[in-house]
Amino acid sequence: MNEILLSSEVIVYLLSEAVLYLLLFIAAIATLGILKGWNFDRFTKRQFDLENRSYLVMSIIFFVLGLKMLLLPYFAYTIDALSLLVPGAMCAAGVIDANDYGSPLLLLKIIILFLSGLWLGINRLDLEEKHYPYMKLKSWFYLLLFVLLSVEMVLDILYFSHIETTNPVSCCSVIFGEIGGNSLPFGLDIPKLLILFYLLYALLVLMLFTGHYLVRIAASLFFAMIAYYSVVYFFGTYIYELPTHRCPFCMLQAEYHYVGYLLWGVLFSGTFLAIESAVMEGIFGRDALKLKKISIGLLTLFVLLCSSYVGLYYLKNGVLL
Amino acid sequence: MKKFLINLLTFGIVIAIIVILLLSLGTDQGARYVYKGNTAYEPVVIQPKEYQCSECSMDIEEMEYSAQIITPEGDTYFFDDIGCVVDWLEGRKIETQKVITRTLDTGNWVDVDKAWYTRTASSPMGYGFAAYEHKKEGLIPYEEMKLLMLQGKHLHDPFVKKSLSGQ
Repeated sequence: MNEILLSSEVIVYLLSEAVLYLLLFIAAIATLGILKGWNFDRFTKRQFDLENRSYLVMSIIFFVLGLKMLLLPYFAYTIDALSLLVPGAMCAAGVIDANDYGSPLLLLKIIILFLSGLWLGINRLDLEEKHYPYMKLKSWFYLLLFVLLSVEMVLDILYFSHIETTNPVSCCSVIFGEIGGNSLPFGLDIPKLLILFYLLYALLVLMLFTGHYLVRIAASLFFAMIAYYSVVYFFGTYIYELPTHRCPFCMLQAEYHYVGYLLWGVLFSGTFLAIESAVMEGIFGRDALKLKKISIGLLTLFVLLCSSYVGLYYLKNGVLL
Repeated sequence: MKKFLINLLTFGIVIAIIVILLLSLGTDQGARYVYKGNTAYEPVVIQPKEYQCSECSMDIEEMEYSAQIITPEGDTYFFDDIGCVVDWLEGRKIETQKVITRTLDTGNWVDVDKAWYTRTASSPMGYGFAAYEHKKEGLIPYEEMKLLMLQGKHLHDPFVKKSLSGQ
């Protein structure tokens, strides 16, 4: 067994994931049973049993998915901690790049996070009604989510068991440095990237006031992508106060006051709530004013936080990087 | 009226986003570091400031000091200084087909490990290393130059600079 699997953070992480997965597995089996016999219009004992069981199962899923959301920052913390064991890694960037499973796993975790949030939203709607109108929808949705969660569990094990402590990995300067070409998408340069960043923020806020749900979803996803590149290739350099330091993970460390957790957390939450509000209004015909207000607040906080690093640096030093 | 203004503003922003994306896609930014498709593995003739050094990102201006790395896929990376070549190769596992440098004495392109190197040239990055095709007294082979570069024993080190200028 390698050193990685013996590190306390990995043991805690994998154990938590395994326990949660076991609960999700039981919930998936029970969900299949509920789907098979569910008919709300029937007044049979079986239907009443299913309703009771569904309440328990949905409570388990609600609890586990909520915990899984908290496990994502812990996953980031774990891989950051592993940078001390993996030669060459200065932060989580090197560790996530240590084998082929790391990047797909991180992407899958973010997708699951968004889908889990959506499931929790549908579950809330369902429980607000007397006759469980979305029971079948949320059950099928959960089964889809369970497939992804199973892939995630397998990837978790493959990823942590394939990190070598003898092979040096690249540090973030090599991974995110401008090597052999422009790393930004669509051939963008930094000024155009920044204009796009602020324009997309304005567009997203405007879209939250209109009924163009599909455009709102597209603007949210595009803003999340451009915001990621803006933070890594521009705003991050002001967090590190070093023009060549481009990394999405180093800001999770104590030297930078763990600001990365706040920054990425606010971005993901703001974007997700914008998407959820579009789904709630567009598909379920519900009022999502509260979600929209929180989303605008979070996105504005994100933009102000990013911009403040540049402003403060300029005020302190009188120049830009 | 409010709805009309929101729609107008949205339309303006969407148009601005499309214009920025089209402008970006139309520029050649992405091609300034790598020349693709050089499957003949021959030195690529470039103009000053046309490409940037893959290691230090500086424009390549002094062509007599420039170097190129060609990969088996035909991707050609450009460097303004042989010291940058050493640093770049050290940082990554990359398969190379050819690593060539211009030489000061003949102006030819020569494989880096067949050239000889001075330690006191006015090279763009100021390391002092520059290639010669023909061996002369005081010139060192590639492996020795590479070692000195990686150890930081070049003209950036004041002690090295002083000892070399004393010679």
